This record gives sequence, structure tokens and C-alpha cells, in this order.
Amino acid sequence: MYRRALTALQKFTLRLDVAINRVYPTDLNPLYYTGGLTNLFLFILVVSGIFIFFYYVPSLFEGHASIVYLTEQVPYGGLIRGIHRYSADAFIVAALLHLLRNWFTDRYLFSRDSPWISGMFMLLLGGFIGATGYILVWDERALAVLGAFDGLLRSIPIVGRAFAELVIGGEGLGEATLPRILLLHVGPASALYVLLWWHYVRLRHPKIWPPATWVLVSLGVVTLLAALIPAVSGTPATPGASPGAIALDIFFLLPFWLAGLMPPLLVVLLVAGLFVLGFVIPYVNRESDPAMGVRHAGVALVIDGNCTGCELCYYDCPYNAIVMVPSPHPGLSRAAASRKLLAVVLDSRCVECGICIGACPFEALELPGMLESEITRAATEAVSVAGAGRA
Amino acid sequence: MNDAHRSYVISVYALALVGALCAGLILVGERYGSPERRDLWALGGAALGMIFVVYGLILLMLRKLGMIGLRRAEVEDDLRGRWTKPVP
Repeated sequence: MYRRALTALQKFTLRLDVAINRVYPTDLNPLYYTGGLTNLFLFILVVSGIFIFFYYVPSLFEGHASIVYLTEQVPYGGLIRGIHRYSADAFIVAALLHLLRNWFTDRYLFSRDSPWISGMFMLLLGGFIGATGYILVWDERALAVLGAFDGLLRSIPIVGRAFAELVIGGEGLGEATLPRILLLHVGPASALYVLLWWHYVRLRHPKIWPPATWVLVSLGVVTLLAALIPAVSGTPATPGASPGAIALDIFFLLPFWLAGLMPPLLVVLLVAGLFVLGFVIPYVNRESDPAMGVRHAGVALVIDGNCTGCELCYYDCPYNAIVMVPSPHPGLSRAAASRKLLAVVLDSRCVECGICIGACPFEALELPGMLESEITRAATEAVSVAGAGRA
Repeated sequence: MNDAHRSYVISVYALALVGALCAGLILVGERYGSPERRDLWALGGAALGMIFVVYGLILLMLRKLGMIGLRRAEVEDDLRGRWTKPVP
């Protein structure tokens, strides 16, 4: 059922690609750059966030006023704030599209589980950073979100209260609250770049950045939105006042909105369950058919005498599993006699896919569990058995 | 030059005109607006955003014309109305 649904979604995704490719050149199809667009919006968020950071005062009495000052008094401050606001939404949209696209096209299985897991962490952190951003504005909605956040944390058995006090900075609101929320906004945002490194480290040719066309259009759209529908603050928060209902923002405030409709612990379990499900997706219903060759071929082996140091395998390996080192001695074949470099396979990164075997024109790489001589012998045997049967 | 080619060229000129108008709007605003840059900033911001969008679309049109990018054969395919092979 699950595989059948994924197959249908895969067909839909591929047909959508073809439909978009009729309008755009294939190398400019925006759906091929959902990851790069996510990275672009993260970059815009960081740059605009640094600008906002210089004006923001993390204090219960000045937090709201500093944001209003930034919006109304600082030249282009309102525009930058709007760009920050809409880039956050665009970041989540692009990240979700990236997630769905890779899920539907099976790009999360086997060796791609590492980018998938790091991506789930980034999505989790992205949502959390967005929610803390709402609190920093310190208007009535911020107070309601903080109240709901406090309630969600306190609902966690045993450690909930300690967590809540750690985040709020004491039993109740105080001068320590907003600096801590600011830390929870900026700190995880920095951690996103560490996670990005994890996201890319196993990929040889990641599309880190979208083409200039989409960089300009994306930046233009968020700037246009920031100008035409400016981000505004509500009335200042009044500590001690009863928080009102939270207006739904599907990207960042859904759990807090749900907390008003159901018990907080249920919301915590729902969110945790959703992400646990996301983390285990690459490991459920994996194909175990040996014909797929996964973990049956053995780590690729460099045949020292044949390697010419041409670097073709190094460039073709999608998993960064081959490095070129200075050759300690010349190769045995005529082509390898004057080599300067030697290919070395990193065992921990090799997924035994065999791409390097196809990349090497000098027969300098082999998969130990799938040697050419063995394949030839098996094929010859199969042909002779079939021939004998026919006779 | 076929119809598709001509429409891309016209689009580039039209977009460049929109971009120039937006740039002019920003220059006028900077020249005659208040020194604090607090008046009509939304209009200036929208013009700036529009310039980014317009320049992005101009790049797209130039790519479709084959004036930038490397895949000339693909561009020739586009001018015949096909970008890619259909999914089997």
C-alpha cells in the first residue's frame, strides 16, 4: 500500500517535471533546485537577521518598542523586517517541497539516509526558530505563543518543568526571558549551517545554490511582498495579562494553535511522533532484494598497477568516497607509468554502487564481490546451461 | 527568426523597460523624498523587488534564446516546441 502510494506520487512528480520543462529550460526547472532555494532563503534570513539584530533590544519593556523603531524609523528597516519575515515562510515552503520531492522519488534510501536525517533535523530546527521569532516581536500574539510554549514544555513528564524554567528564565516572565528566547532564535540558526555541512558532506555534486534567474526572482518576490504587505507588530505584550487565542500560522505556529484545542501533552506527543516517523522513514520497507546489489558487492578496490591518476573516478563518485593522493610509485601498465596521483577509496563512504567502475577507462577499479571475471564466468555458465537445456 | 524567438526578444525589451522605470522611480524617490527615507519606502521597496524579478526573468528569456547557457541543442529544441523527451 505504502509502496504503491509512493509509486503513484513518483509518477506524479516526474510528470510535473515534464510539464514544467515545457515552459523552462531543463537546467532552470525550479523543482530541481528546491534544496538550493532553501539554502538561498536561509542566507537571506541570516543577512536580514544580522541587520535586525543590531536594533533589537531583548527586554520585556523595550523589545516591542525596538521592533517598532526598526520598522518605522530606521531607513528601509520595515523592508528588511518584511524580507526576514517572508523569507522564513519561503524557507519552510522550499524545505517541504525538497523533502516531498526526495521522498516521492526515493532519494532518501540507503546511502542517502544521511542527508534525509540531517534534513529532518533542519526542518525541526527551522520550525522552532520561526516560532521563537514570533515571540521576539513581543506583542500580544508573542505573549500567547510563549504561554502556549510554556504549557507544552510543562506538560512533558518529569523534565517538563525544568525545561520550561530553563527557557523562560525562571518560574515566570522576567528580564531573563527575551534574552533566552533570542539565544534560542540565533543559536539554532547557527546550528543550521553545521547541519548543512552534514547534509552535503556525502554528496559529490550537491546543488547548493539555484541559478541566477531564480536567485533574482526569489529575492524579488520576498522584497515585493515585504513592500506590499508589510510585516507589522500587534499591541505590546502586557506580562500578566491573560493571553488571547493564537492566529494560525501553518508553518510555525501549528503546535501552539493545536495546544488551544487539545491537551498540551497530546500535542507534544503528536509533534514528536511526526518527527520520529520522519526519522525512521529511510529504514522502513527497504528493499532487501539482493539483485539491488546493496552491501553485496564489497567496497570498491583500486588496482594499483592500472591506476593512471586521471581523477575520472574522483569526479564521478557521487558520495565523495574517492580521494586522490600523490602516487608513491609508478603504475605497472604503460598508461600508468608516469602517473602523479593515485586513487584511494574511503571505505566508510563507499556505498558499493559501482559508478567508479564505469568511470574508469583503465580497468583500475573493481568491486571485490562482483569481479568482472566472476561475472563473465557466471554468464558463460548460464548461457551453456540454457544451451544444454535447449539441446 | 520564428514566432517563439520573436516573442522572447520582445519580452526582453519589455522587461528591460519595466526595470528601467522601476530604477527611475527609485532615483526620483531618493532625489525628492525626505532625507530620512521614511516616506513611501513601501513603493521604493516594491520597485526594488520588481527590478530583481525583472532581471531574473530577463536572464530566463536570454537563456531561452540561447544567448546564455551552454545547451544550444536544447534551445533549438525549445524553438521547435520541445524541451525534453516525455516520461515513458
